[in-house]
Amino acid sequence: MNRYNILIILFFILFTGVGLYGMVPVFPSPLTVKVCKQDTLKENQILYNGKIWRNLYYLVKKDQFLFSKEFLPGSLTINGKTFTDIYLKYDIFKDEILTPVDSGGILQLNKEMVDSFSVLFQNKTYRFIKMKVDGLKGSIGYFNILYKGKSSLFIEYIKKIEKLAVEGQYDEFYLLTRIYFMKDNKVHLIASKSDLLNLLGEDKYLIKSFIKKNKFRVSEKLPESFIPVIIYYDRLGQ
Amino acid sequence: MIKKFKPASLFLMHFLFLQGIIGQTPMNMADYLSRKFLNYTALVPREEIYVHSDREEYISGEDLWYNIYLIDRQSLKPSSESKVAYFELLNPESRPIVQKKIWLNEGFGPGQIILPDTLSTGTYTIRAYTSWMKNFLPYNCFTKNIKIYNAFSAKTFKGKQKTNNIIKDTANAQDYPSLSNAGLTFKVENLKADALDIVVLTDEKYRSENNNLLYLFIQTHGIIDRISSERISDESTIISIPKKQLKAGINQITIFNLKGQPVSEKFIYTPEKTNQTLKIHSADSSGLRKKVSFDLELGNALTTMPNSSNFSISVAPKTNNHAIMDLNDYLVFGTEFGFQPCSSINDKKVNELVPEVMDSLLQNVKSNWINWNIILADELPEFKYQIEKEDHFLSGKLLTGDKKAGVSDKFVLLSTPGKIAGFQYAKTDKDGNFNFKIHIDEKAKDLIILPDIITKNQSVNIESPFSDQYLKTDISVDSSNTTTPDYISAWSVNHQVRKIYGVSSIGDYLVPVISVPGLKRFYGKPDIELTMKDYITLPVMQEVFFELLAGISLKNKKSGYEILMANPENNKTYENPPGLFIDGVAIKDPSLIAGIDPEVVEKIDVVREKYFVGDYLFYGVVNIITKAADFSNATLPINVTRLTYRVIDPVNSFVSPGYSSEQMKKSRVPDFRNTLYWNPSVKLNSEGKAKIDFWTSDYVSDFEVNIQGITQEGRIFSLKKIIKVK
Repeated sequence: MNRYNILIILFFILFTGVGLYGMVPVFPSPLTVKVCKQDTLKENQILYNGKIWRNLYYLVKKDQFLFSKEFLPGSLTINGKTFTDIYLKYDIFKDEILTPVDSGGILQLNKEMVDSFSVLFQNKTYRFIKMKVDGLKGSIGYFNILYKGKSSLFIEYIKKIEKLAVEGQYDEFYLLTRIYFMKDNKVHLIASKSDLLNLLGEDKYLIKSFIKKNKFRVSEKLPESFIPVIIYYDRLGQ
Repeated sequence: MIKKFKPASLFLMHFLFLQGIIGQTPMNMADYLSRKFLNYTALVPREEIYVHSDREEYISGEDLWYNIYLIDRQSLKPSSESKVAYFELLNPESRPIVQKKIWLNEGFGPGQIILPDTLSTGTYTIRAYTSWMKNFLPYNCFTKNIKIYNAFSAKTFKGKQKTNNIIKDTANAQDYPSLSNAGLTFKVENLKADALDIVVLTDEKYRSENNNLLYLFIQTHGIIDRISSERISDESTIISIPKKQLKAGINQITIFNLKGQPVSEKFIYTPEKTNQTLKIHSADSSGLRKKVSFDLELGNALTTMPNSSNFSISVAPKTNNHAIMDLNDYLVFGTEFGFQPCSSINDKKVNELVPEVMDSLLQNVKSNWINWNIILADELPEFKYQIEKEDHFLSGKLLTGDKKAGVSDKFVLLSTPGKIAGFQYAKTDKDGNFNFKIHIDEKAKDLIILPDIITKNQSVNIESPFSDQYLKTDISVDSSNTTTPDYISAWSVNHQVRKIYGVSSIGDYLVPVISVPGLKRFYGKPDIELTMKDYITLPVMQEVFFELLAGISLKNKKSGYEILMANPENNKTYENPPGLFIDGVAIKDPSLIAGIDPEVVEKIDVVREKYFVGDYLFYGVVNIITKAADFSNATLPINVTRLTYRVIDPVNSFVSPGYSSEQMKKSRVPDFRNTLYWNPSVKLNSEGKAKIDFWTSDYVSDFEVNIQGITQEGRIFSLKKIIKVK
């Protein structure tokens, strides 16, 4: 194929094709309404509200975060307003939520304003609500809601520091979890399956047979295993 | 290598090459136009407001009762988008006399004003709009003329010059460049029972340039009825449109050429076919001081959830003014067409008009909303005002010292005095404009607004939330109205008697049910919460800082007082002073804190870390909370604005006497209400019924019951009935 042929092909590609398509418009990028920038400014002021976070425990081995020391995708509700597609890290030593800011820093969000949040870890969404419960972290803290109906089941995650900083060793974070069952607006700590059953009063025997019949394995080691039992208990009360 | 190419490969390469250039999938013209249209109507919604007032004529000094209906033009259903309506009474010179901000709850908002008794006789205008509608003013808002009579200043009647019935938004007038010499025109023939014929006339040039094609686009109040490509074979081509494809209302028929340019446009009217009616059952006459009951009932084919409806009902003396706009009629045209049909159709309802009359009316109208020039443009116009769905916008301008120019790209701070510090900032745009978002509720708010940098060269100017865009009117003596109707003198006497006896229809304040978020400290839990009563009393604030607040110093230097804070990270003093607050109000001058008597201080909150609120950085925070917590212990700098601000104005209920007891019946207090009854929020029960009771007065007259209403599903009802009181 000589140069002329190449030119003819290029001509065909560049011009005739465009001619074919010329009458058919291509939908442009979607129109957007130009709004006053102040509209998003207030939202930013609600979301990005907090102290600059500093890691005061960099000498302690492991980390103070739940699930991962990396930021996890999640959502956050502050003063009734929900923000999605944000990144969060849950410091369970201090019971604080952290989020990155454009400047490269990390903000420790104003806990008084945070209502709830969720994080996605290993394809599972964990939902936390700020509640008043006398737990390990004081009277107000974030609790992972496993079930919320007439009764509720939730978990408290906390990390503590094991004092090992002697003879060349470093202190180390370790994880504690506590399971709570809320019934009639009273919160009960559950350390075992029998703790839960003992709280269910007269329905205890019905529930035992329900567990047996369905061959459920209910154990404090897997707090989610309590959920079908509590759902069944709630239904009994209806 | 090129020798290896085969024709198929070349074709594929050609196709991929083009895709690479264009980057997106091409689509056909019909899809293109409909997507453009849908995108536009989603981004530029149209709100309509209708105001039902208890009457159309008043005596100066009387109350005017009204209910505002906010309706989404596209769905014709009550809109829950905007939460604030701006209601104004304009004088004959189109200047505001009374202004109110009304809370809209799910599209409804009752209100009431007292007409100043100094108003002279004339034609006044009610106008109402939302924040979003402010983008399209002075056109595109609800307006209605009312007459006010003043027996004590019976001068010449100040009317408004009669203009065209079409309120034309010239800024938004459609002028499609491709319309001229397009070589295509069309007419609509309505001769068949179930179809309309669109007769398209084209010339040879059009047909050859457009491959004998056109695109037909029909929409009604923002909803697509039909989009199709049509082949034209001859000079005259008939396109038959099944009538069932057309929605009730004004149908905009636009024809586009092959390039997607609008070439011809017409408007037709499709009347609403409904067998759902509202019935009123009541006696036709009543005596004085007698109970009148009427039952409202939704008629057959009940398809709505009746208890989601809202009706407003007035019972007022019958007048000579029959040109009262019903909600139903108003929404046919609305602000989309800026057309008030009543005065031009001899007081007939729109549905009663013969098609020829309607066709002639529609010859001159254009949609103020569906403008294909804007829809097909690459960029939409910029809208200054947003929909006030959750918050109200308080706007202002940061000005230079001479108040001639705006100051751009600067922070302006908003605080509200109280025990709990709230804080908000705004950043000025290129013209110095800024906006704050204020929660929509009825509470009076104490707002303090200051520039971030306090200098004599900057000042804050707060704008009125009401639009300053008014239609120009030429005042002239309206000769048709120089004769005051007979009943006006009776009304005037009635009003004077009520005044003498101190009788009023204004009842209790209607408390709106609005959830107000709990106040929380903007800086969260402080590092130091110093409660003053826990310590010995110190004489001056300087000593309080020295003795009780480690790491923070308040010093008196030659240049004045300064407050410095140590960074807890390294114990070095921050390069900038901390954010200073008194009772939650941001201040810039530490001497204001130094000047406070420690005796009046209840608490001091300190945040030691750097603290961010959005983009605004505090190098620590110090908040002095006084016992009164009202920021009364400090003097404001001159360029700080403090104002008491209500987002929505209080509204009272309508009350009227009842004569169920003999004692009341025999009461010697005369009852000369001009408006016998007003109820802005009648709800039908689940069976579609409502019962209304009221008592007649001592005034003998024919009274008109005027009911306007809409259900959540968009069924509109307008009903009138005369009751004789003798």
